[in-house]
Amino acid sequence: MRDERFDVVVVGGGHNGSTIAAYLAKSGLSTCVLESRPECGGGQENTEVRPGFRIDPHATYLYGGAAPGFDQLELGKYGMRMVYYPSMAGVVTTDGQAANMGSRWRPDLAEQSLARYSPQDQAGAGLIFSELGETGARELLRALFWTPPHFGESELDPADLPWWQVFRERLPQFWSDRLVDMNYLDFLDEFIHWEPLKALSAIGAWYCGAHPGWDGMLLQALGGTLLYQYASGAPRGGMHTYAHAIIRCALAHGARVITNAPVGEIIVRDGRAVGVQLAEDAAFGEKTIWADKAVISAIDVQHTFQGLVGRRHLDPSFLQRIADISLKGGSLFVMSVICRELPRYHGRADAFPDEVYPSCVVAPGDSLEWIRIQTRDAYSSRTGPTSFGPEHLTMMICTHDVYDSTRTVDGYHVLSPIYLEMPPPAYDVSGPDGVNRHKDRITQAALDLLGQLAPNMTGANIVDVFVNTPQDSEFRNTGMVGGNWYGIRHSEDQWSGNRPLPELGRYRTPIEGLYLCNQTSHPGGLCLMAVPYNLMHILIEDGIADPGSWWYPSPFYVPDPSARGAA
Amino acid sequence: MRRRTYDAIVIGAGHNGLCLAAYLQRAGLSTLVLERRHEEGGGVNTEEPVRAGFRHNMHAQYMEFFDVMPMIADFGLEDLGLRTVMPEAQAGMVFADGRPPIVLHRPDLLDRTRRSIARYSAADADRYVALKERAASFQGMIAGALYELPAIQPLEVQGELLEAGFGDLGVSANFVAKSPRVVIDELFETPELRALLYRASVEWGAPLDEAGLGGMFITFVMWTMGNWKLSLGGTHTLAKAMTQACYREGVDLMESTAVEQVLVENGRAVGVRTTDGEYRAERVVASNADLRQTLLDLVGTEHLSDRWVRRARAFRYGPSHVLGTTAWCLRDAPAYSAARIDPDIDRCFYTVVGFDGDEDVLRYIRDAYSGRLPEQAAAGTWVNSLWDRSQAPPGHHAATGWFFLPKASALSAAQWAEVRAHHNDRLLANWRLVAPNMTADNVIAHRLYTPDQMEQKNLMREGDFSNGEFSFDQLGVNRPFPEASSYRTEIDGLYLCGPSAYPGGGVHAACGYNAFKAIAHDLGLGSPVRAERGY
Repeated sequence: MRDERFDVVVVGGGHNGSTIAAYLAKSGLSTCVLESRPECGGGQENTEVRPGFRIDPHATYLYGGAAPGFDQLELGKYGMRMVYYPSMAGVVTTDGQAANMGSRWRPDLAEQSLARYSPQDQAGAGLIFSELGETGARELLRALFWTPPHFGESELDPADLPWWQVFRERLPQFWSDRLVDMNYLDFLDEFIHWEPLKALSAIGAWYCGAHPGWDGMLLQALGGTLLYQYASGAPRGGMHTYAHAIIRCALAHGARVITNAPVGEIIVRDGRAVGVQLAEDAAFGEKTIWADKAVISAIDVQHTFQGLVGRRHLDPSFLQRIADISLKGGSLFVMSVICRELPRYHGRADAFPDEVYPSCVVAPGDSLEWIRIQTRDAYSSRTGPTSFGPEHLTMMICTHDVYDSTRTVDGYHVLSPIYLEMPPPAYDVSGPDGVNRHKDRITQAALDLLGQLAPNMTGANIVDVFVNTPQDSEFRNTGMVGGNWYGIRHSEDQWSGNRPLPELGRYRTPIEGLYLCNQTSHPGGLCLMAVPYNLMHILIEDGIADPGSWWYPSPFYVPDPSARGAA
Repeated sequence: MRRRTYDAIVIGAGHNGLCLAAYLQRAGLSTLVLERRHEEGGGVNTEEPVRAGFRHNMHAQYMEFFDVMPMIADFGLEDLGLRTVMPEAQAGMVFADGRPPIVLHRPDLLDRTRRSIARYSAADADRYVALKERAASFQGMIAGALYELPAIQPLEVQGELLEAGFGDLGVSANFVAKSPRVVIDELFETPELRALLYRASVEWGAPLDEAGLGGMFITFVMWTMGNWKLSLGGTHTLAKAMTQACYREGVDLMESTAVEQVLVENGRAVGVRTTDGEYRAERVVASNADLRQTLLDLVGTEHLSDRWVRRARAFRYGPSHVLGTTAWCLRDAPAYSAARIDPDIDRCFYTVVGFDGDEDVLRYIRDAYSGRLPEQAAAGTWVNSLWDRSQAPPGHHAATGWFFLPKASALSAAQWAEVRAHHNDRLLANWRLVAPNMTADNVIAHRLYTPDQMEQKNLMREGDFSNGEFSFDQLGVNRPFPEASSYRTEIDGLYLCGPSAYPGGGVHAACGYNAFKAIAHDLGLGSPVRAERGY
């Protein structure tokens, strides 16, 4: 096959790569996406592990409900449909407490549950969301996630960062200076009374990326929860439908999407990225695809610079800084259970009637201390699960089929995913393959615990169990290093303009014409369509993209005075 | 707002449905495809059902129609990611007692095939190669017959044509009335070669003991033998390329949307009711679903004449083409003892394991067809990762195989669970007899998908991948039944485009292509036929 030429070549057809391709194709640029797997979508994957039963090996809920991309790319037109859930979350404890937290559509459920345990929390639970309202929540979320990092952010007063600006304006009654440096765990301890609600909130934030214990990340942690509340549902049929819609939009606007096409090298000439060379084992064989305007790397930052851009084009100290980036956040251990009956939790199981069964149950959510233990297990250097007791095994037990019948077969339920946080392989005290070796033990411990919390989850009720260890996840998606699902940690030093490094914070790279568009850039994971939206600002500024009237930028965007296109 | 009215609605995004949709949209009809599953492609699917990184084609395996499939050229599917390799050694059979393997090669390497068969019989070797070359030379005619609405042709005429084409190679006119087994036995004396051809015949839809399919063996089966390509990334890549072609044309595709009813008003199909509400079709509704589902479940008997209801109810599924797919995650690819005699066997695309000779295959097939689980665990196997590194993690191999099994309803749910629990182990024991490295240690994990699961997953009734038995009375102009063989139904505007229609199962997209021809004729859309191809 002969060489080809496009305006823009996108390396990697995961969520971010396909979204930027859709944006650029819609802007009229000839765009080519190269995906190494046979299927685009990356972590937006669904698998039918057993006929009729569909599991989510990675992503599961829609967090990106507030994304401008839904309007701008008209995903509804391309098959994206949502199912909205009356109850998104619940929590149960080892001693039989249970609360149904409902969703933004059913705030009454949380009020009823909390009336039983903690009337003083009644107002608090959904308070931030209800005080903000949909418009305010969208504005806050867009300030946090859908705004390119500020130029020269370090010189700003933290209180003037866009998200704090919105917070101060919208929620003056809650504002105080000390929030800026606070962490979410302390915040929860201070403002929430009922322990399981603290645990639920903390772990919910953690799964959105921001570790609840990190100082200075309070609003990011809270923002994760808001993202979850904002959409309060999932794409009908699973997250892969979302991927389909994005790809379909790209194709409809003329993008070329090539699967089975691993890239071997990003070609750099005179300091400028001019195209890519397909790897020799690509379905097309070795072949060059030229990019006249830009190469966009939608794979992680380390693979980009250590694998695809030749070292000779880069400064050794820059390469060292790239090598020093830790991709080791928490890693996911993902179980999927096919069962005949939904878990009927002991104690106050009546909080979970079928018609408002919580789509995600945190179990056991006994105490904030347990979450502290687990975050320590997952993040501290060279630790690991020290036991398989309940304090180490808080599960997020998700089920979609109560609201989306496409996921299962009549008479059965699919609990998928059941997430557990594990140390990344490189941090595991028992060695990098520790979790793999303990896979059966961890699975059994989790199932035993589930059986204790929900006595019906034993014996013949459990039909089948599927497990994805962190290393399995990396097999499927090479960008999920160690099974980490959001690239780099969402900590203050790796957030916003510091993500992944200050000099890469605005998606530009030392190689002219090479841009980053992966969750290792701001604002990280969760399939938000945010990295590509933010990158669009830069591509416009650099004179590469010129979208039509459908485009609108972030109101908080501060152009870069030294931008190439601005000159 | 979601669009709710289209010119054409296609039920099911199997590869035939996608093919039809692409042609319809290109012909100017706004087209919607509705798919019950979350992925398009139907039986053309590749998944990682056992262990991460190990890819298995869950259904369709080797691709033999790519050189003739109109859609590939018409829509530039190779530019959309469809890429293939064609292994040199194509089909093999190994035996446990040290006999040489039989290895058949692709059409340009038949000298090697001749050497392989000649280890047993020089006469068989010459005859196989001659028949294979002759059948290959008729590719244009075979393709022309596939990609055209079936035509009535008296048996005598078929016989004359067969003899005219193959008479000098020992084929006479009356072969058309014989069964494939009789034809194979009459042509070849080597039990080992017969065994492999029996298996191939069954796989390609010519049940061994079905009289009247002898001509099909000589032409169609001999043409497909060794014409097999491996789709890089898995067979699902074809579905992906077809889907892309559809999007480029402007087709809308909704996955996770099951059709519950075809809406019929005044004898005309006007749309569908789905789990996502109603969609209206102003001109065409076409169904990639099987015959009974389409007519009895989706249309409903109240809209059909007694004759059509009777015909639909009489349509049979299985026992031919009933598959179990076995998936293996391996450390090393099987290393066959027989490689000492013929090293090609270790890099053979498709290798049949577990049979000892022709009698075994016959007994096996007769058991399966009569509803008994065959005692012998024997399967055709592929190790695609030998050619395609994307199909297994580095340093590992993914093997997939086909068992022919009794139809889904022949065994109870508990019996099928039993089969899933033990049948693979029995295959492994047989595998190890011919490939000593196939020890338990070499196997990381494995799983068996049984016909009842195929039925559940792809709505292939009885696990029959042709969605209708390949028997003399259900083929050609009789498929699915004479009144429906032109893809049209007695409901105006409702067409069949799935493998219940002519020519049946297989990844040729002919059901979709021919359905388009019928629709194009009825609506005056213009023919898709291209001069250089002629069909």
